Amino acid sequence: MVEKEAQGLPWAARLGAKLWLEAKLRQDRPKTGGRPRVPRIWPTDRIKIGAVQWNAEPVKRARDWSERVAAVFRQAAHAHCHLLVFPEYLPLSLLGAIMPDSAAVNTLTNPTIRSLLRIMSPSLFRHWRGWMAALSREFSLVTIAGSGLTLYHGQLINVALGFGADGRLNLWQPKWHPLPVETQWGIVKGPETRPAIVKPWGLSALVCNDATYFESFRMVESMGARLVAVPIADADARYTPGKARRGCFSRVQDVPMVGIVAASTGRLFGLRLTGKAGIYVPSELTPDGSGIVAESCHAVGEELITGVVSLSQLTRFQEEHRIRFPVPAPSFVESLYQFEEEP
Amino acid sequence: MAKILLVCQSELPPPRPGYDLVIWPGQNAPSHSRFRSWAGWSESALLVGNLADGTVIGYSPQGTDWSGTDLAVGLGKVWRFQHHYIAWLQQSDLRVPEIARALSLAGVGLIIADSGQYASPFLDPLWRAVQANQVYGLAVGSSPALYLPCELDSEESGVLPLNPDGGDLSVEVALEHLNAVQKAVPIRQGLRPHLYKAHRWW
Repeated sequence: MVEKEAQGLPWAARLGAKLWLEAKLRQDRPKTGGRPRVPRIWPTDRIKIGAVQWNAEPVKRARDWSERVAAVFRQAAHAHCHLLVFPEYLPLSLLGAIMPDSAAVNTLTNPTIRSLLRIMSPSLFRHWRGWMAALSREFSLVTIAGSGLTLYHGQLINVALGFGADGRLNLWQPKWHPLPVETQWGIVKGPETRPAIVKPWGLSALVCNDATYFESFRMVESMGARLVAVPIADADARYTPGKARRGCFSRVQDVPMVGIVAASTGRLFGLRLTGKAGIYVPSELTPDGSGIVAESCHAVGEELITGVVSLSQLTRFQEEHRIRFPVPAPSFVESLYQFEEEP
Repeated sequence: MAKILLVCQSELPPPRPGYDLVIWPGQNAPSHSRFRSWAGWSESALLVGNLADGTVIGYSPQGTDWSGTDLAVGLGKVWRFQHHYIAWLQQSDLRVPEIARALSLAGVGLIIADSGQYASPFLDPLWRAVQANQVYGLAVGSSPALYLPCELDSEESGVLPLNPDGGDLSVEVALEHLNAVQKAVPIRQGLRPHLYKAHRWW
């Protein structure tokens, strides 16, 4: 532990950076209280969904970030969306408020990034959570707020949050399968807590690389999920359809659900993020057999895509699929996972 | 590197040298004696599949029966081939992702399956099984293609066309390259058996 600390920033520098960030964030506190702007009648079948493709480049002022997030909420409300999904690492752009205009920030070493994330994440998390709750309430939208880093029992984890249209937190979903680069930044595997499934739609969330594993989708689907939001931030400078189709798109073909991908894109501290926002369903449920309800046009830049899905149609399809392609016998699946997890 | 010939003709062509494995997907029940002598003559392993009922019969390069291993799951069969395993599955097996996962964890490096008609190869369950498990997939039948992990494909589509060879198709499969992909993008190492058992879906 001492060795790890020694490789990162000195404690005084970390403390200074944290206090500076908190001072910047205090200049743009979210509004609290008040009634939701629009009383809504909530559908139980046909849901209009908005998925955000977000330009994650660092912002100079905290207000720039909150104004852009609010603009997306406004756009989704005008489009009569019921559900709005934001991407992975939404709050990280706020670090731009304290980062110097220097190429040096693009070449930080992993130990430095690790110590910065540990010290900054709780403040960013609180700020992000506060704003997303306030805006969900103001625009009366059910929201998957993307994901952010927080400390859980002293360890850094990546967590997706969901809010009801009243602004109350109703979903907390840790990333179960972090990428190797995240592990180098000190992010650990999310705890084995029961996934949250929000009624009445059966809304769940899985974070980015969790969509590489059909097991994640099996778990939430068996608990009643019908909509699964997947915030992503792919640090892959070259976007190709093949690599993009390996995640949520493929998983909802394997385990029938509505998959909603929200993507962070652009340059963020040396990373080049690409990805498209998309709404995906089993191919049998789209008239052209593509499995794509909506998808953004370009793999970088900012865009809100929207689409309507029918939950009753999906439920019927899920039931038929379970009969045609049942989960193998318990003894088979049980024996499949009889090995030790890698640390 | 395994050199594979995919026979596309309705009749088995004259044996061709230089192939490690010959695959003949057809619609009729194979006649044992005929194929056994063909395999012995060509000195290639031969897999004859009946796409109509899913039966697959194997013959060794010596012309003897090439029996499947006890790794068989679903309706598929698994054979030992060049220090790896290869499996022949039906489409319905591929719609259950646990089956391909089990095979890949057991060491299967190539999955052969009848390709269906899809608007895009990304909708083929074999392509999905290949990407999810970092193995090769050989789609036989109406739309033949080699599926491979995107990391092994310069276009990153994970789809390679097969090469024409007479009226048939051929492909070279580097099973030994799979280890490098599995290390570079460690999907298997990320599996969380405790988590899955805590929230079991079975």
